[in-house]
Amino acid sequence: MLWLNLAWRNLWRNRTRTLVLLLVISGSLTFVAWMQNIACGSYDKMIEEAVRMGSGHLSFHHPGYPAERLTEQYFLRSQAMPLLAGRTGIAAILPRLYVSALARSSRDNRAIMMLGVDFDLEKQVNPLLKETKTVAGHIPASDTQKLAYIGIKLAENLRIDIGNKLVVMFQDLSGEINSKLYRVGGIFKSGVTQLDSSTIFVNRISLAEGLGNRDALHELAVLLDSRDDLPKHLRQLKGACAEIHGLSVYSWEETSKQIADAIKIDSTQFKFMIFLLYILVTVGTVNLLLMSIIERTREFGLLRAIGLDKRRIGWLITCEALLLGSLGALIGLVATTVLSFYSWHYGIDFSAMFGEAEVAGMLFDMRINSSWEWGWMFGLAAAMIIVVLLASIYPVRKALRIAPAEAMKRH
Amino acid sequence: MVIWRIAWRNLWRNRRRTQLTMGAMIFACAMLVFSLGYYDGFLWSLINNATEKENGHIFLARPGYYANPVLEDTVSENISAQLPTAVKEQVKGVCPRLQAYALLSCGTGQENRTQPSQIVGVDFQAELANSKLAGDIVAGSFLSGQQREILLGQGLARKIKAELGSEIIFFSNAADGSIASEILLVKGIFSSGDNLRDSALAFMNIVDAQQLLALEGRVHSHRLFLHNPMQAREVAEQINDHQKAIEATPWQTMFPQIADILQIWFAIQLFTVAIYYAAMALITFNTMYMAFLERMQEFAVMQAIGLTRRRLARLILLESLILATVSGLIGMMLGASLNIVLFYYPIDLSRWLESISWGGSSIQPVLFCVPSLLSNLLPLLAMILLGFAVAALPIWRLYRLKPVEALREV
Amino acid sequence: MPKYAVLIMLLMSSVLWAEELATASVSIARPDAIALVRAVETQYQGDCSHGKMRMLIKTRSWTRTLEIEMWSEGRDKLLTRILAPVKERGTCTLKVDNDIWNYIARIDRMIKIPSSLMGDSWMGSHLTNDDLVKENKIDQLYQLSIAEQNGDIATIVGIPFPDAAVVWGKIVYQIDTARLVPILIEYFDEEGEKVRSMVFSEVKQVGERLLPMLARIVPADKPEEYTEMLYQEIDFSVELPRDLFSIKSLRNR
Repeated sequence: MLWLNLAWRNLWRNRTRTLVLLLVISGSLTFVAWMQNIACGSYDKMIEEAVRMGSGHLSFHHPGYPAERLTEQYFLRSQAMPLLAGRTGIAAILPRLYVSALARSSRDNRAIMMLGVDFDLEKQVNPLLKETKTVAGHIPASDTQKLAYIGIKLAENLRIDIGNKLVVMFQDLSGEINSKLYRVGGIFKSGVTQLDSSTIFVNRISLAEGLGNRDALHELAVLLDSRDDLPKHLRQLKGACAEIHGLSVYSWEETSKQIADAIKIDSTQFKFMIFLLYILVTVGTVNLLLMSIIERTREFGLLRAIGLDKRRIGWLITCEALLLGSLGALIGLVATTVLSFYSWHYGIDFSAMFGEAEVAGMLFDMRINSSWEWGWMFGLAAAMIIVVLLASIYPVRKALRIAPAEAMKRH
Repeated sequence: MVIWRIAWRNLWRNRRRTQLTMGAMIFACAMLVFSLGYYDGFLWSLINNATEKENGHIFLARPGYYANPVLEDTVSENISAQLPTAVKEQVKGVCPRLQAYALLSCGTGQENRTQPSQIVGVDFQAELANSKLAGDIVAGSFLSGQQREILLGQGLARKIKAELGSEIIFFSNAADGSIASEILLVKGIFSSGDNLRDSALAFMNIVDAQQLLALEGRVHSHRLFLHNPMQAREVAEQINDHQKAIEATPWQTMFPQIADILQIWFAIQLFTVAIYYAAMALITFNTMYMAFLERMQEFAVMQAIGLTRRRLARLILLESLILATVSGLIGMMLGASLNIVLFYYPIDLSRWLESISWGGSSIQPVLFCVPSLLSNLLPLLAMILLGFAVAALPIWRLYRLKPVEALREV
Repeated sequence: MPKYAVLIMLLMSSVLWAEELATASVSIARPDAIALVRAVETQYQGDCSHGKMRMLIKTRSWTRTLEIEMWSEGRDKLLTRILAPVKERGTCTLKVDNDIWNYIARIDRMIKIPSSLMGDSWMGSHLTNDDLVKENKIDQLYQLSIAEQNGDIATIVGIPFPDAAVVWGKIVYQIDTARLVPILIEYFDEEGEKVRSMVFSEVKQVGERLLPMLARIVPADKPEEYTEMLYQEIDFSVELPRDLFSIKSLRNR
């Protein structure tokens, strides 16, 4: 206790220096920890939106489908559904069909991707199928078979509007060419060129009938209540699928690999930045401690002369560093908590700056609520203390090398 | 001149302290130069991937072709006669392109798979010299100018079940309305990171394409590669003013999303760099300021022996500036050399990460830096400004303190 | 009558409701729209046909003439083969039910047309691949009514049934009721704007039937473009080899 007390007093002998160093330490920690909270919040948001727009936290496919995406690589709903029956922690199950087709109006024709979905199910979770994205008409209800929900660019290209006819031609499961009539029920504008210019959503049952098998699916996307349960579900379902021919289960990291990679690149960059900042802090601390030791050479000589041994002087300086680091870390943590509370509760709206961002063919809204990464926060704080302690090694050794008599001579 | 010598000597009177301070400043400056270079590298590769992969910096075609490509709208193969001389100097290379839709088909009978695809005829030598198309090849090799070669996107090859050496049937309408058909052999398969693009794109030799499509001596577009991509807009304007028969479109118009992303990244970069600067400035300031405070007594002595405050202030300022400039220069050199090394020898991280598509471009997992004048000079400038700032505080204190008090201090 | 009618007529592949023929001809006395349209189509009934036609295609940038030989059996089987120009000689299109195969003589290869290309032009003309494929079930697709009877010329308006997979908003069909030949078909979008039209002319006696020898297709938004099809020979009394409409026979043609 005495040592801490002494170290504490030593620290405050030069107030400006200590305050500035504390500012650097706590400021750096606050910055990285807060940014980490925001970044993790944005990753969470990206993942959650990506899984809702894309293939869910985990999804069932025909084994070849994710790589080749051919219409004939389908599986039966009745094969997959029993695997999910009675499973807890599932938020939504979204059956989908993907069929490439030709859309024709009386004016023009375009190659498109047709998505057979259950509108009522999708409306609850899929960010694409929201009334806010609808620029005309409405999202069709699940019980209407004949309405299509199409991209704005496609509507312009085909020169059609709400209520107009749209004939789609596609190959059914036996390879025969089939055509079907839909009417435009709603027009959406997502901001993603590919979606707006070549995607139409239709009732899954009507499309499945056109394909020749009411039960056929290309994807059964499963949304979980919590992403933490994913490994467990994935393991169990993979086991169950192994016994079923023509059915495999995939995680979002496999089906939305680009999003997973975008996050990986971003977090790698962020870690690189943390690394650089910590090096900076180290350099700053080494510098400051060295400076203060050089200044106090005479004092240390005196202390040695009156009988304090090397170890204790080293201990004293270490204590100073420890105090400095802990205090900085504490202040940093408090500041992080305050800032993160704001960004968690109110969110930070980057959309004013950037609008909406398109990443890997998906759209992300830039209102980000930070998450609470307590592990990261304490880890970063602990790392900061360690960095400061490490930074004290060199100054300590420097101080100990000074012979008492020599030190006394100096001023 | 004397004051310079005194300042210089003063700095080296306490060598260790000066070394320490300089060390911190050099490190800070090198870091700043490096991080700016890294961000520039990131943006550069984003632009380059969008433009140099295939599109070029300026798209030259018949007016209206860019907005609405029609098979018949062609320009002459020979472009250099149509460019103003002033523009020619800025151009690094030209890649002629022919573009068409065709059915590509592979296999016979029930195994026959047919896909409508975009076919791009390229001059393989021009591409090797200018674009980075050849770098995308994942199997086989790039076009070599032999007859009947074709390169398929990975997704397209998968869809029609083609492999290296497979026979590909090309079927389309030529520009004179006749049927264009040919058997091509898969020479290579490419993957650009953009799945959508790779599942509907194929490259072939432009001479073959011209023959097939009955467009001998004609091309749809010329892609200009400039020495400085950032000048694309200005060069395009020059061409448009000079030539009415031809329309130049700069990459900024072709990739509005990249321009947006540039803005986003610029903002993020600015923010991050500001944080770096703040941390560096605080540390440097702390170190230098401490060094001066330590010497308050010394200054007081100097004042006592007759140095006027103004001259003393100048001395302090000079010392601080010398320290800042010298460390800034050394730090800049260190940072710049790191940038240059990473510019010529980027570190490839693709073993751990896959490239991702982003608004028409893709981000390659590569640690790559671009040294630029701005990214080198900005930190140096910041350092010098810091030198002023750091000197200001002791000088201010000096003016406030009476020499006697100062002597008593410490 | 849907837009595919022209092909059906030209290619002589329609055997519309042969069993209802009697009813149809009886009801001509009453101006019944459905009966009238059927009566016109039954003109071209015939199990098999073999003929030659010249197709003139004019677009913004080129004009070309194709000479085509063709065979048909019923509505579902059709084979065409290009005779001229020499460069494309031997190129065949085989339509069986809903599938279209192209045989390219120059490289001796076969391609099956995928669904995404059904809307594309057939041999560069203003007809689409889909025009070859579409079945012709006019009274199942359209609600027909006679809008006007002006001497021998009847104007029939067809409004598609709500569920019919037809892109048009309306078709207008003019028939010469005396000779039972078509004069004009016009296609309108749902806003009532004309999209394309077909005009028939040069009616000649072929065997027992009257047949317009020339059909001209004009897209409304590009009036300077058109495709003209002119019969040079047509014969309904032919025996066709059993395996004519097969992929195997494409190569040997």
